[in-house]
Amino acid sequence: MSDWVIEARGLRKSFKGQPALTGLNLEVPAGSIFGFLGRNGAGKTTTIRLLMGLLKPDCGDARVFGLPAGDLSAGIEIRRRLGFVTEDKELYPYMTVKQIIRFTRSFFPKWRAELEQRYLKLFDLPPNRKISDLSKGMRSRLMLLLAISHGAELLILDEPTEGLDPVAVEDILRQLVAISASEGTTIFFSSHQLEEVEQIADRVCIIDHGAAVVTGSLDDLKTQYQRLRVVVGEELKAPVLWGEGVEHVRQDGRTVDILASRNVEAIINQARSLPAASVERFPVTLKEIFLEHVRSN
Amino acid sequence: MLWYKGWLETRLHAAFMLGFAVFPIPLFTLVTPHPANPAPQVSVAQAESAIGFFALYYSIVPLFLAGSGIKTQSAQIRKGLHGSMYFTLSLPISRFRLFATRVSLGMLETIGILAIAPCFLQIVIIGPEDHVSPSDLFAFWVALSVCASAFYFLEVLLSIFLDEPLRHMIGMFGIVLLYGLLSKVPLLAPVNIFRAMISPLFTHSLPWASMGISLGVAAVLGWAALRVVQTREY
Amino acid sequence: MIFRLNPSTGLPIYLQLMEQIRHAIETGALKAGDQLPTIRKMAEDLVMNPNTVVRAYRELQHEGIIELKHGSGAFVSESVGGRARVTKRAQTIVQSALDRLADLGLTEDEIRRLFENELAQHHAEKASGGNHE
Repeated sequence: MSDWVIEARGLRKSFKGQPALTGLNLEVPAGSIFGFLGRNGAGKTTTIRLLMGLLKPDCGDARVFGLPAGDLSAGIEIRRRLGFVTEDKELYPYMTVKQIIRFTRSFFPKWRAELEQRYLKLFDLPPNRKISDLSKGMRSRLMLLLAISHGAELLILDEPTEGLDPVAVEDILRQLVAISASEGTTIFFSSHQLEEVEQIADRVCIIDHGAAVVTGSLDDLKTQYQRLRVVVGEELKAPVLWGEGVEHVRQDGRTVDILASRNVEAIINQARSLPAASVERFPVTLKEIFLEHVRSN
Repeated sequence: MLWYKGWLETRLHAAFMLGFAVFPIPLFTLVTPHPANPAPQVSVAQAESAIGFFALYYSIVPLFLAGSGIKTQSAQIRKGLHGSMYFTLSLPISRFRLFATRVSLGMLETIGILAIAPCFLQIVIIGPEDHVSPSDLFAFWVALSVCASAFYFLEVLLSIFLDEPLRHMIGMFGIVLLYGLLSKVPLLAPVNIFRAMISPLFTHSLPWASMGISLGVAAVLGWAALRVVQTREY
Repeated sequence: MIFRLNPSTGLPIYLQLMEQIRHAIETGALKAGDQLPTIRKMAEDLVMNPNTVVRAYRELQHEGIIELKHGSGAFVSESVGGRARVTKRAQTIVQSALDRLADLGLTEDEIRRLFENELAQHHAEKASGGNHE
């Protein structure tokens, strides 16, 4: 038994011979806000479907709250404790806001009426409006309300801010950090919006071609990754054999641009040993880390 | 609350099928000869086939009320998690419960609406001076419902794979095709399900064999549908 | 108390927050004994991760700049008052020194190496207790 709210080991899954997951490992600690990043088709949706019990892996193990995600009866217990918001935020168009709240509430004995009331007011959702008449932003908020109000320990969000205007985006992000701060809810979300992930996530995992290529605390990643710009006295005749930790090197004339993931001091020393070299350091954004790790394949 | 959701989902369909069921009554003001007392120029066989046609008509009712509880967005589950189905699947309910509730609700609606069929006969075909015994009409309703359950579960199975207009069309086409085959091919006469539905009016007893076979077929189709729903990847 | 963070620069957010709080103390926007916003309020106002706020507060406590009183919140240390004035004076000294070194034509790196060298020597002198010319 571990403290991981979500734990996946060696997950593999193929569809009609096409591999979707190729040995994914994932560890999501309780109380974290976890960003799950990857290109389209990298395996994010398949992973979420696995965690939700919608499919079973070909091999490997996925656990939510320590329970096996693929098991039918454990799946019901898991879904009792988690809240899910889909990418397109589709709900039943024929129901009103009030009706769907009543409907959802009936499945959760631990429903928190005070959270429902608070978010109904905060999100400004008209109780008698039909869901088919709600904008996507309002449907996002409604789905979030439904997920939070049943006291979910874990929120799984598939592209929570996709298709929303900037005001709605900021609103959703604010509510997510608020719920994390006040309830200690673990938030696991997939997103293409790297700036938003950088803003609220404390841990990230970048998935590419069905496996995790980068994983860890966002602060640590940003501290460990550095960009170095080396300007040399004269054009280098032969390419330099850089030491460990260099992820990517680009040379243009007398400028060498290096992205390093660790061992930065040693690399700087190596750079300084080049003829008349000056070295500058730059911090690295999540976008740069992301592009570096998914492009090279 | 699943019954409530199912009702909200199906009430329009149920209303439409109610209209569908009632629709022929004002239309057919002609009085077709009663089988027990046919007008000299109409044979019992002709009366049988006329009434049999209405059995076909009412067999269509279950098609529009059948569902499997998990509404597929389209013939294939698309690559993303699209549609309200994923909200339903994220709730802590077993797939069995989703399936059973929806299937039961649709069946109840079907049986309720099919009660119009004997009323139809009573009002239009029989005419005011003739009457069929209430027990025969009740037996007709029972036979119609039980035999139609085979069509109902066929539609449940279809609803897992196909979307609304297409699966209704395929269902209707299938039933009409079946009707044509059964009435035209003499070899198949013993298994004519439509004959079985109306037989209580003529034999004053229930067609136990046909009902048994229909229930058997319904059970097999229903079980198959459940297994697909439970093991499918969404 | 208004803070501004930029998540898209490469600098980790907790470091940015720490910098902003230190700066607020230095400029007097936050005085000794003032209470800092609660973790939840800070996270909500800045739309940032509450664990990151916790980390920033803890690091600042480690540096002695703030105190985390169990149950009541985070407060600016009493001892920073004096520090702020000294820091201001030191800032002026460093600014003028940098101006003069730049006038001599030294590059940033050279200046940095100079300071590091002198600091190292200074440390060594203190350790040995002697005084060199």
